Amino acid sequence: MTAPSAVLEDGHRELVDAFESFIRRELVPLAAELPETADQVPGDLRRYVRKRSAALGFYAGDYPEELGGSDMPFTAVVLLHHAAGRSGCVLAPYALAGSDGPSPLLRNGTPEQVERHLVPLVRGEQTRCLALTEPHAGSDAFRLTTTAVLDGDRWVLNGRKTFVSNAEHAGIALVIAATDLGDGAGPTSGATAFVLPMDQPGLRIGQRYEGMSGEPLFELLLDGVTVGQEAVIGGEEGIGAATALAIDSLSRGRLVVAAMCNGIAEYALRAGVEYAKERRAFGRVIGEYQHVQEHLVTTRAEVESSKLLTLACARLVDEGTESPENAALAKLTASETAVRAVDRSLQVHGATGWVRGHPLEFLYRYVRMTTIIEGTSEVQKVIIARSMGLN
Amino acid sequence: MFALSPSQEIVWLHEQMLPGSRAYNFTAVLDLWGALDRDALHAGLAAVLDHHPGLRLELVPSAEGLPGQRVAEGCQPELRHSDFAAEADPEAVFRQLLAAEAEEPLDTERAPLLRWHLVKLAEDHHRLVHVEHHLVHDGHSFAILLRDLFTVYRARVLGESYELATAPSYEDHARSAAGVSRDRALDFWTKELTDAPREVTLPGLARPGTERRHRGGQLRQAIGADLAGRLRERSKTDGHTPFSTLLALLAELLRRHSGHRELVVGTAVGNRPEGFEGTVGMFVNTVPLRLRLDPAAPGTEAVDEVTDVLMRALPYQDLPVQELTRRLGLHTSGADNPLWNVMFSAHDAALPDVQAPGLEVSLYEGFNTGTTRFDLDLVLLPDDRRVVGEKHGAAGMTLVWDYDADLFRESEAVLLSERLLELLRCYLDQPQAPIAELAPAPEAEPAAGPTAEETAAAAPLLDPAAAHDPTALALLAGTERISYGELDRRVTELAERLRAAGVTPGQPVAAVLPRGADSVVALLACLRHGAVYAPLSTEDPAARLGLLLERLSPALVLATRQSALALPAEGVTPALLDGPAFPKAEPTAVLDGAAYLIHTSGSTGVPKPVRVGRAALAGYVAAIAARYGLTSADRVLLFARPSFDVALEEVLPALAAGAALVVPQREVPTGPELVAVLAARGVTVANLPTSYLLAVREDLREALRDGRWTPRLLVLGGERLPARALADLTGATTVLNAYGVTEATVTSTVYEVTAADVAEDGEIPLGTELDGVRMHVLDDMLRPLPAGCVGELVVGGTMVADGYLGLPEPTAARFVTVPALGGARVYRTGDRGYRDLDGRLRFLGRADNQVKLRGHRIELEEIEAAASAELGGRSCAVVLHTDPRTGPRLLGFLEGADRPDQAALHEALARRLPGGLVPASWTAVAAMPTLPGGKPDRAALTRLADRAGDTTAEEPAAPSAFADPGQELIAAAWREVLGHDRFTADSHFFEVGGHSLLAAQLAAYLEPHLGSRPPLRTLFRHAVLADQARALAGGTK
Repeated sequence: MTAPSAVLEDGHRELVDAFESFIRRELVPLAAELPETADQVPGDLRRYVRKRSAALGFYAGDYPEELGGSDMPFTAVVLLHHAAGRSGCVLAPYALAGSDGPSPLLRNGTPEQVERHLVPLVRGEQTRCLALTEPHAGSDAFRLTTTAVLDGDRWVLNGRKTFVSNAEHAGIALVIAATDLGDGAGPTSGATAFVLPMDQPGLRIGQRYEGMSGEPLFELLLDGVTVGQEAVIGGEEGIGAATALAIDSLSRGRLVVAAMCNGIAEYALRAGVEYAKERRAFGRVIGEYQHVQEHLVTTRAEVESSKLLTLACARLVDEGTESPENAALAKLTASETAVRAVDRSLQVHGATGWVRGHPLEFLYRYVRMTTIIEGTSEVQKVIIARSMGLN
Repeated sequence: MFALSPSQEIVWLHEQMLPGSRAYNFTAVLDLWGALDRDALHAGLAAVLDHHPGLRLELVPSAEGLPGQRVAEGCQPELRHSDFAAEADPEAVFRQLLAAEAEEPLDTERAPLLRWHLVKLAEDHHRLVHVEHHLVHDGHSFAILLRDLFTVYRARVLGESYELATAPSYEDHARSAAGVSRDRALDFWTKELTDAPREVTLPGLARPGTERRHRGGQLRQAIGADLAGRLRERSKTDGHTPFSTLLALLAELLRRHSGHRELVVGTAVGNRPEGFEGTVGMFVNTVPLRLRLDPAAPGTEAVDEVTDVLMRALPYQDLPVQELTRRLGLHTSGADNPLWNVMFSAHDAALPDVQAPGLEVSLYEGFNTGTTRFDLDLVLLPDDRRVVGEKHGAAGMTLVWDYDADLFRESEAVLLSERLLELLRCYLDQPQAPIAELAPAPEAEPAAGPTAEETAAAAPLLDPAAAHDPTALALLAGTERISYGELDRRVTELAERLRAAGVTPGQPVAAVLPRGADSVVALLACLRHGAVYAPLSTEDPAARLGLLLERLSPALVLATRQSALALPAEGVTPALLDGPAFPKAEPTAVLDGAAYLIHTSGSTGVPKPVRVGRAALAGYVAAIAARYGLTSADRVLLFARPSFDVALEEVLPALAAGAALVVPQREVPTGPELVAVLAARGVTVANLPTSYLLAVREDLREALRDGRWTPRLLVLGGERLPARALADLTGATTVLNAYGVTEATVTSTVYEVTAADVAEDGEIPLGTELDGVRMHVLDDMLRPLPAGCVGELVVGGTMVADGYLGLPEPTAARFVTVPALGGARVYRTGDRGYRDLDGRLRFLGRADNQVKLRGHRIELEEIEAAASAELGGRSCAVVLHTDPRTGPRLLGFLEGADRPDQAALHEALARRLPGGLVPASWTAVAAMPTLPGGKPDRAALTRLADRAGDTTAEEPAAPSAFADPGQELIAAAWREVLGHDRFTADSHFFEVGGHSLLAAQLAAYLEPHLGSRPPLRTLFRHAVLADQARALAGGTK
């Protein structure tokens, strides 16, 4: 099970070992503060884990040192997310920058924006949320009704965003709005990304959505939010340029999700194998039954394949030849694999895995989100199909 | 050649064990004023040397170990000369010379074992330094020597003839002493010393953990002629001697400083047989005096008792002490003997009246040799007119205090000497007063209790939920985050539910709740409503909870659906915090003014509920908040279970200060789990039981070192705090050692541990009192003792509990008013301790059998009662045993041959007792060792436990069991000198029949095999065979 991983992780073995040691020595004991399968982690513990991880150089490791990162290759970041997933520790994901961490959008910000907003994010000192999705436009992310109208040298934002993660903990919101230059043409000038402090007048959290598991999502309401040019990510050059920037950030985000999924799948597989070796039925351990073996062997084949794919894509990113379809392939494969792996492992466990409080019970609910976030599986397929010239 | 006398054997053995020791070098100075005839002096010295063969003895090494001795012929006096007359400061130069002479050893194998040094200070002023080995010396012999010296001197100066008295030789004595039967004396002393305490320890003055190097300090204390005269007169009137009077007072002084009424003090006695009055030689023996003081007895009776002891010992004083230690199976690790460590002797040999023509001769003796044989060695010189010739004027006395300078500083020796003198003065003023009342301790300042206004001001401290910013954080527990506003809402709601159920102020409300928000809310709601909070442990067996609730008779029993599972299935209807309306409150007694009831373990098998008042609690909260410097910026760990009083210390002062409580989710977190919560939750103040700290200290250390956890305060308590465990902690945070008892509202004293404490690795002090607390050290007559004295620690002041609910007798026994403290009400802790000279209280141990283990105050009788009940009345006993491998644990012993079913007994006791009170294992003993009163002899059982740890030691090993040739060699030597082979590599030489003389033979046996004779000291220090082999093979000296 570990041979391909060993080959691929070889260049970053020490880093992964150190991260796993950090999880084992500091995060697993801290997880004792939480219920066995905490759906939600208190803000203070998330903050502590993030800052501690940043201090150790894991959090946002792929960001440059001058911004507080560690200049890691993206492959290393993917390996860390994989390790976090396979640890089974509920706090491990918070040790790595995800959708609440430093955003590639801000990499294109003005020097002032980088200093003011990106650096604290890289250092784990604050988090952010991304306000992109709107009601009735989930997968079609850029069919925006939220507008940013230029009024003199001020922008006035109005609209309603939904399914925004981390809104209650974030210090800043990255808001994507349709651009109206105030020239009477309406919001036809593409999408623009704004960075807003969460206490910006006119900006407030609306509906709270509790999901099957994990962190809640929020509605974010913009009601006459008025900001200056300094809020436009990228300054003058950023006006109407958000679509390209956002797609760029989605690609990396999808590979991170893929890595996490691979880790979860590997964790579920390991749990299933261990259980199958111990649990006895009809005088034998259940791992000796072919139907049980079928679940586990199939999972292993899928997991190993998915890991190789994800890591290969990560290397392409490091080589500068990344492409949206690669990320889509990896994310599609990994998330679907993880869902099946958890499902099968739970099946191997039987009622034991179904009981509330069992890690697989939690993962069964948790992993389901992964085929939806960062683009549903269907969207991934659209991207892949497009790369094949099918539409 | 002839054998050493028994007295000489002791001296020789001492020097083998402490090579280079000058403890047996006798040094004296004769101050000679007038015209000195040097030739006459030399003639005198030569004459005494020639006349007394005892002065010409020298040792002859022997292959058997112990040397012999012989009289050397043709000895000339070794007389050195110095002239300091031209020196600017002749006295200073002389002091240097004297120190050098006193410390220069004498070669015992070359006669004479004495030398002189004549020093000229001026034309008419000389000093003769006399250095003599004790192998040939005693006080009486020295007087003979002086008599003969000045007889010859006088005759030479005056041109007269002289004749020196003849006497039998010392050889005659040594030979005759060898054949004397000492069975009667041995029987007497064996009986006299059965179960006698071995040594007197003065923990309040002696530096703890000191390695004894026998480095001597000396203090000369003058007793003025007036006082000495009164002492002589009083002693004469009562049929005593000044020595016995001072010995009784010394015993009283030692009682105060050791905390023990019974002690053994050694004294030197002359054992010069009849007919040897004129013989020069060593006729001294030392004997143990077992003194039992009745502190209530009048002083004169105490002196009577001491005199009786002296008189009883008189017929048996010839018994050489080494024979006695052999008979008693004792051995020593370097002191002269293991029977006593305090000596008190009188040097009362009269100086001769021989008048040296033209000379005034004064004697100064007993100079500090830099070496001491005992912890304390007092010598009384009953006449300080130390002149040869006619005496003039009134005689004072001198007490020479030789002390172990590693144990005592000079200031402490001075303190002891001053206290003895004060005792003497008081005794002479009031000889009929009880001896314990002499020289009373200065009256202590009363506790600085709060004024009525302060008490009123402190009352709101008991209702802190509404006193702070409602949005401020009050409690963090896992995923739960409770603000002060939310806390106040919950407290209000619960207080209302209590009222609605019919609970009235003053009624007890039991709370069977785990540590967490519910227990905090229950505490605050009870305090707000005025109900008496009575927390019980959810970990206790249902039967015990049922018993406690029956005794407590609470109006309500608060629980949650989960914690209610701990309650007995029948007879208790809990009021469920997470359930519907509470049941109607039971009618029950109202305890006016009470704040809470917390149980402590009880000796009758039923724990005792301690009742603490609201004023005491409020004052306590204020005192702790102030002492710990708590502020709203603090995050305070809530670690203790609610049924422990420490939980109150964690909750109430923190909330009173507006701080936030942090509750770990694991009942007992592992080290990494604790560190994780401390670091992630930013805990600034943590209060941990000492035993728990020991388990997690490495994790804490690492977290402090790498900066993950940056606490402001780490409070430790519940048990003795080993200094070594605090290494690296004191540098990273402030560490406090807290001491207290449930019966005086949790903590009474606090001490801030310093890096120096850790470096010294001694006992960490208990510290000083909180505001409102006054601790006293009382003797067993309930009389206050001054600093440095050992007694029972009692707590007074405003935080003393009301007593044990419904238990008047234990309350009366423990909560007492002390006339000697002006009628103050105090709680007797049962802890032994003292206040050190810097004013800090220090703990020594439990006075009774109430022990502390992992924070539990355990009365061993409770466990015994439960076990006995379980086993149908079988006699059993429990001891707290510390095994270096496993740490402290409870061990049980059962009388009878039947081996106990460990698992079944453990299970049965676990149903009756909290887990911490169930002994780790039980051992069957054929007959339970008991004390005279019939109670179990726990000391004997502890020794049994010690031995049980090494069962292989009981079994003799085959010769092949020795690990290497080194061990084989040592084993062969042991076989040779012991005459048996019932030992193993782990055997202790002195526990398998060895003693000091056999050790000397052992050294002689080993000499040809090792190439040199191993020092006896090495054999004594490494008395275990394997260690001995290692030490000798490794060349350890």
